Formats: sequence, C-alpha cells, structure tokens
Amino acid sequence: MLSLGCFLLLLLIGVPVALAVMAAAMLQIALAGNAALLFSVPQQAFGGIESYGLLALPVFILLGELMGESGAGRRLMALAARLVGPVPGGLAHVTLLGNAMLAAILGSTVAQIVLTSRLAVPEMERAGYPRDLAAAVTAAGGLLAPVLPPSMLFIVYGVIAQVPIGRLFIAGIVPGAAMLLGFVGVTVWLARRGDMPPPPPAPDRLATGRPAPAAARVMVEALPAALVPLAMVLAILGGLATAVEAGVIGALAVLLIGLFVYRELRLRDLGPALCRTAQSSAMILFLIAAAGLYGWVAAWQNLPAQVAAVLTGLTDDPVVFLLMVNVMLLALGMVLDPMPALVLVVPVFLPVATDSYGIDPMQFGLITCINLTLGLLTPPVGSGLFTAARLNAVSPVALTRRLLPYLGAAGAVLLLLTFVPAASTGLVGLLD
Amino acid sequence: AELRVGLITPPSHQWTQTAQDIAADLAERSAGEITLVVLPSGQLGSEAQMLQQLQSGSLDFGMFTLGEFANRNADYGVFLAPFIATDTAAARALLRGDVAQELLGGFRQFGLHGLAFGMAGLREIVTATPTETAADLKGQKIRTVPLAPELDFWTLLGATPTPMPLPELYNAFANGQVDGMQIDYEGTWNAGYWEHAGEVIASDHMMFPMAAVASARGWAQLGPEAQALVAEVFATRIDAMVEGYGEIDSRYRAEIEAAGVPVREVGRDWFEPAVSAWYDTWRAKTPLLARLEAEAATIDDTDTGTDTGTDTGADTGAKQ
Amino acid sequence: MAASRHSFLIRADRRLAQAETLAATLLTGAALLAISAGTLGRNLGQPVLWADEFAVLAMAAAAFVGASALIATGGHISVDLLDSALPHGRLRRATALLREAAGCAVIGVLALLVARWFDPVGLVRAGSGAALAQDTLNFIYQSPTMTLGMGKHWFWLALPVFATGALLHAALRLWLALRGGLTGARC
Ligand code: NA
Ligand code: NA
Repeated sequence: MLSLGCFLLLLLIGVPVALAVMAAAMLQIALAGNAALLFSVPQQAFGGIESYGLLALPVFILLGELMGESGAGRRLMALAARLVGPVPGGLAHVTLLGNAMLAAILGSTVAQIVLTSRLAVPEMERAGYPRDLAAAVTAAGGLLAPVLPPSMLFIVYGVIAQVPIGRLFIAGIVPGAAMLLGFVGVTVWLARRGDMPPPPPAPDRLATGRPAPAAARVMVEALPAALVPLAMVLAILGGLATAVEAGVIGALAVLLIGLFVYRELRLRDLGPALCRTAQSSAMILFLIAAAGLYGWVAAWQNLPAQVAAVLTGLTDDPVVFLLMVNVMLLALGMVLDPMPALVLVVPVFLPVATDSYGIDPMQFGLITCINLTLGLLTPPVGSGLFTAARLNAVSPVALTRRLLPYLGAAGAVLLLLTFVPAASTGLVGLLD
Repeated sequence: AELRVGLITPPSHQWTQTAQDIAADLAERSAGEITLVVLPSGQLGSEAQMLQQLQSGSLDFGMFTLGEFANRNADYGVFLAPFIATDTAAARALLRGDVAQELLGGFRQFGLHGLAFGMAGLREIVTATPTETAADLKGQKIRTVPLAPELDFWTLLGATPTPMPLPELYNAFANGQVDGMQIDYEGTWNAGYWEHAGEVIASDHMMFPMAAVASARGWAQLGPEAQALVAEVFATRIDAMVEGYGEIDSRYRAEIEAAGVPVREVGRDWFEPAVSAWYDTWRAKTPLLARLEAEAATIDDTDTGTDTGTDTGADTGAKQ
Repeated sequence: MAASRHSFLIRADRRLAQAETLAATLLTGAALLAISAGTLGRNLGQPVLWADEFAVLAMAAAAFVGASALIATGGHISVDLLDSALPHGRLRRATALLREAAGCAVIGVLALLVARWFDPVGLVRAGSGAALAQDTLNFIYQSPTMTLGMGKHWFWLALPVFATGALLHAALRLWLALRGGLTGARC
C-alpha cells in the first residue's frame, strides 16, 4: 500500500514512469525486511530483461523504422487502401486486417504496434484521421498478436501449465476472431459517429470495368514491398528462422528494397534508424526491467498465494471465481508486463482453478493470457501504450481515451470466454 | 523460520511436487517451526538469477539442473556422462555414492551448501524423421542446452547440437529449424512435441541430474538441529523421487506409443564409437569421471537392475 | 560567468548523453548482427553457439546505457497531467524541483546498490574476484556466461555506467530546476 502510494505520488509530479516503478519496487523490497533482497536489486533489474523473446523489440522496431524510411510501408498501405475501397473508416479497417495478418506471423504485441505505427499511422494522418485515433487503432490491433497463433504468451503458459502448445494455438483462433470482429465493430461505430474522416473520392477506380492505370501502378509499386512480409512468412514456415530472426531477415530485405528498388533509402540513413531503435527499445526495456522488480518481490513475499487464499474463501462458483480472477489480472496488468505477470500468477492460480473449481486449463490459460495482454495498453504502466505514444508522438493520456472503446471490446471477449467455456475449448474438441 | 525454495519446473512437475512434500515434512517434524514456501516456474527468475539470490542469502534453497554448476566447474558435469546409469536403480545409487558426496561438499566454492542430488530421469531422442542407424543422425540439428558434455556427445555423433531457448522449441521443431531434441517422455508428451515427431529413439542415454542446494549464508543461520532435520528431509524425499521415476516414465512412453509415434529401442552399442570417444575426452577433463565409472561398475555387479523405466520432464520446465 | 558555466555544464551533459546513445546504438547493432550470424550459421549447419546469449546480453546492456541518455533528454515516458494543469509560476517551479529531486534520489539509491554490488574497494583489497568471493560471498566477478567464455560482469558493467551517467544527468536537471531554468519534463 505504502509503495503504491509512493508510486502514484511520483507519477503525479511527473517523475519518469520507469523510475517511479523502480522507486516503489525498491520501497516494497525494503519493507520486506530482508537486506539481501535489496542488495539483489541491480542484478534482478538486469536479469529481468535477459530474455530471448524481448529481442523482438529492437528487431521489429528497426524493421518498422526501415519500412517507414524506405517507402515500403507507404506503398503497402496505398495498396491495402485501394483494395478496401472508399468505406468510412476504411484505413482503420485496413490497419486492423493488416494487424490480424501480422499476428499470424508474430507473437508480440509491442513488435506489432511498432511496425504498424510506422506503416499505418502516417498514412491515416494524411487521410485526415486524428493522430491519436490512428495510434489507438494500431495499438488495439496489436492485441491480436498474442491471441492469434503463434503466441509467445501461450507458449510460456503451456510450459507452466503443461498444456500442449499446439492446442493452445488452436484454442486462440475463436477469441482472436471475436476480438477482430469487436474491433471492426468499434471502428464502424466510431465512423458512424463521425470520428473518422469521410472516404476519399475514387475517380480512377474500376470505372471502366478494369483497373485504372493509377490502380495498376499502385499494385506494381507495392509488389517489392509485399515481398518483405512474404520473405518473413517463408523463413518461419520453411524452418529457416524463429520469429525474431525473421524480423532481422525482413529488415535486411526492406533495406535492400529501399536501397536498390525504391531508392528512397541511403546507406547513411541506417545509422540514425539504428539509433532511434536503440532509444525506443531502451525506453521500453528499462520500464520492463523496473516492473520486473515488482513481480520479483511479489513472488518472494508469496503474494499470489495469499490473494488466491482470499479468493477461494469468497466463492464456490467457478464463474464468480473467474470474474474475480479477471479483475485481479486487470489490476495486475496495469503495472506488470504480461510475461512476468504470467510467471507470477499461473503457478499459484492454475492449480486452484483446476483442482478447486474444475476449470479447464485451456479456458483459464486463454483468459489469463488475453487479460494480461490488455495490460500492455492500460495505464499507468503499459509498454504497448507508451510505445504507441512515443513512436507517434501523442500523449499517453489522449491515447488512453481513444483506446477505451477498443479495450471495452476486448473486455467483452474476456466475458465471453469467462461465461462460455466452449469459446476456448470448443474448437480443440471438434478437432480431436 | 520462514524459508523459501526456488525452482524453474512447473507446479505439476516431480521436482516441484517433491519440494511440496519436503515443505509438508518440515512443517510436521518441526511442529510448525519451519515453514518452507515453494516458488516454482522460475517465479524468482532464471537459475542464474536464483543462484545469485542463494549466494546473497535472499533465497534459502534451490533445486537446480546442473547447468550453472557444470559451467563453473567441469566436475559437476560428470553425471552427464552418457550411459553411466542404464536404469533408475543404478542412477539412484550413483546419485548417493562417494563421488556425489564429494561434489556435495564442493558446493561451498559457489557459496552454497549441497543437500542432495536427484534427477528427472534418463533422456530419449525425439526426431522428425525415423533414424535407422546412428549414422543417420549425422548433420541433423539436435536441440540441446549449450553445456560442454552434451555438446560433445552430439558433435562426436556427427550431429549438429543446436541450442535454442525452450519457449522457441515447439515452433522450431514444428517448422524444422531443429530436426530433433534430447528430452524425456513426459516433456515429449506434455508439450506436444510428439505431434511433430516421426520417431522416438528410446535410448536412455543420459541422466537429467538435479542438485538441491542451500544458501551458505542462510544455512549458517539455521541451528544445528534444524540443519540436521532439513538435510535428512531433503535427502529422503529426493531419493524417493528418483526411485519413483521408473513408473512415471513407462506411463508417458505408453501414451506416446498409443498416439501412434514409433519408438525405436537402442542401447550404448548403437552410438559407438562416439560414446567411447566421449569418455576419452572427458576422463582428461575431470578426474572424477574415472571414479564414477568405477562406482558404476560395482553397482552393475551388485544391482539386479530389473527396472527399465526412467524419467520425466525437467526439460519441460527448464528455461534455457 | 554563471551563464557560461551553466551552458558549459549543459553542453557536457549533452556530450555524455550522445556518447551513451552511441554506445547503446553500437550494442543494439551488435545484438542484431549476432542474431543474423546465428540464423546464418544454423542454416549452414554450423550453429553459432554464443549468438543467442550474446544478443540477449548486448540488448540488456544497451537498454541500461540508453536509459541513462534518456534521463538527460527527457525521453522516458512520464505523466504530464499535473505539469500541464499548473499555471506558470512558483507552484510549477516547485513541482519541477520536487520531481527532479525525487528522480535524483531514486537513481542515487540505485547507484549505491550498484556500487555495493561491484564493491570496487573490496575487490582491490581482496586482490582478485575469486578472493572477493571467498571473503564476502559476493560472486559478481565469478559468474561466467554460458557460451561466451567471459565473465558476466563485463555485461553487468552497463549498470555502473547507467548509474553514473543517470546520476550526473539527474543532478544537472536538479541544479537547473533549483535555478528555475527547468520546468517542463524535457530540457
Ligand atoms: Na500471433
Ligand atoms: Na498496464
């Protein structure tokens, strides 16, 4: 409580979020009354970001930077806009669909937010979208990454819960699709309300029954850019690369295309792009390291077990239990990154869920993973929120306001998963 | 006193279950004086991080794979000798033998107090395609941890040992970034690697050893009575765990076979001359190996060794 | 004279931040190269055993070194609700002062913990990392990497680099706030 108060006070007076988290964590550690614990803080802070999966951050930030610089992103968006046609909120739908496709390759929300921030937001802004709304759509789309397979979060859950990872992946398809539908619905609603700009006139589009020359040019120009995601998919499915490695391959491909095909990129642009990559990933990783300290001391104090004991004392009903878990996870996700939060919570709560309430580990896993993913976009600590805010130069507060309806849609999916076990286990059952 | 034990294995894993048993025993036999909090799944961090916490005294106990120790001192890789134990009973005897006792004493050099050696059983080989002879393993990318004794074994076989973070392994095996892995039956089954397996080579070629250690700082603060109790409970429970592995293993092997994955039974000869070459290399690296071999020879003489079963999946939880 | 000392300090601070950003950029580049080497090696049947571990450690080190520079440039995310609500004037200056002092204090505590962990005095007194470990059970210089054949403390050095740099940046910001020359989060 004291550490929470300290955190909020520091936040209010404008201390960098990462330092405020670090201060609160160190206070919590000092209050635990074990000096050795406090002396371990530097090593724990470093160890908290020593993770292979986090390499996705610098890799995909660089990929996003190069996509933006090389003109590849602009051309891809132009093509997609052309394909969707003049619909209100058309570019927002394009962004969401693009995110769903990216999610089929990637498992990291932040990586995806980085990419689409560079690809979609400039185009949407040019088309008249408010920049904070454009950033909100890309950030929301990023939530699809860990829900649609493949998903880093599901893999780690599978390892802890001893649930086959392949089944978790399949189980993610229904909630992933529901989430995409929800986001599209929100976008339609916002467009009707007049939050999105009207669609541009399309004079050269299919007027004569065949593509106008301009449309053909858009397509031809986008072709080399489309090779980048294609190369990444092939590298992963062909067994050449992990998702992180595919990001490096994609960056190399877009570098070559930018240098030799579009010729909008010069070799000396690489240094500044790498520099911005280092700055952005340092900002996010430092925050994750700070938040990791919190998770570490919470584990040391065995807090999850104490919370679990309280919850089980309150109800015998699995649905009520799951609802309470949802609220607890949302609160936890506000301050912790999904991965450390998952490791903190699942070992304690999963046995309670399965043994005391008879909840399917698959259902519990989907609820936990999706819920914690929302934490990436919820203040006061959300690495996805801050990534989108920083890369698009909008205020986190304005972005949060724009995100609310999308987070509401994601919350509805969580309720669906909570009340309808078949939403998570049904598809797997059908395939068995 | 409130004490803590950290592990990287998930709650359902035998190591974690054994830690829970140890906690229950300690609570009962100390009449509630000693509370042991079990923190599984790497809640306190990786083994490297937990080792540092043991050294600084913020963590009291750990149940670790040998990676961190073998990396610091080649002697601690000795239990990774291929085919040193051909069944659970032999492994159980070695893990309590003279070499084991000497190694337990040596944990002082790491700022630890050694309590007991255990294991997660013997390891098998899961491959994407069937392997007629060991020669077929040549050039295959086999996922291992980057630990010298394991790397040497695969290199001597002509295979390409390929370290890979554990969370990447499922996708990597499904997509063909690795052609195989050395792992136990339980991990093969629970993580679903069998879904993409063309064959399981039932080799029992290597133990998956575990070391239960205490923080030297924390140990010094326990009274002699508590020390004796803790040491006894750890040793007894871990020994029972090793003994129990035979049954668990045959259960998971049966599951895999029932799912239709072919299982090929092979022995040490199948891997020769790589195994002999491995021993030639490692006898020079650690003098303990020859002594362990001698110990193993006396066990083979005295032990009837009818127990063919083995292990479960520490690799399932090992966040390498 | 005060003004020139003022601007000299600001310029020195900027230089330090630039150097830190450069180091973070180089480390990030090295991590990306290591990933490339790992991918290439594995597909050529010659896995580069150290690639993953090096990439991860270089990334973590880059994060801390880069985070120090972000203190100087105000590049860390912060909540500006109060700051933008307050009118220019004494109250706003007082908030800025409080903010910079708090930031300084947090970094100061962290710096003390880092100094205690690296224990340079103890290291010199003991004569070697191994002796320090025997004397004090501080194993910082006795922690190997898994595949790189070097001590992990070479990567952990990013922490004292971060602590020193961040403390200097934060101290300058505090000093500027004291003189009333710093109100907003960015300078
Ligand atoms: Na995905
Ligand atoms: Na959050």
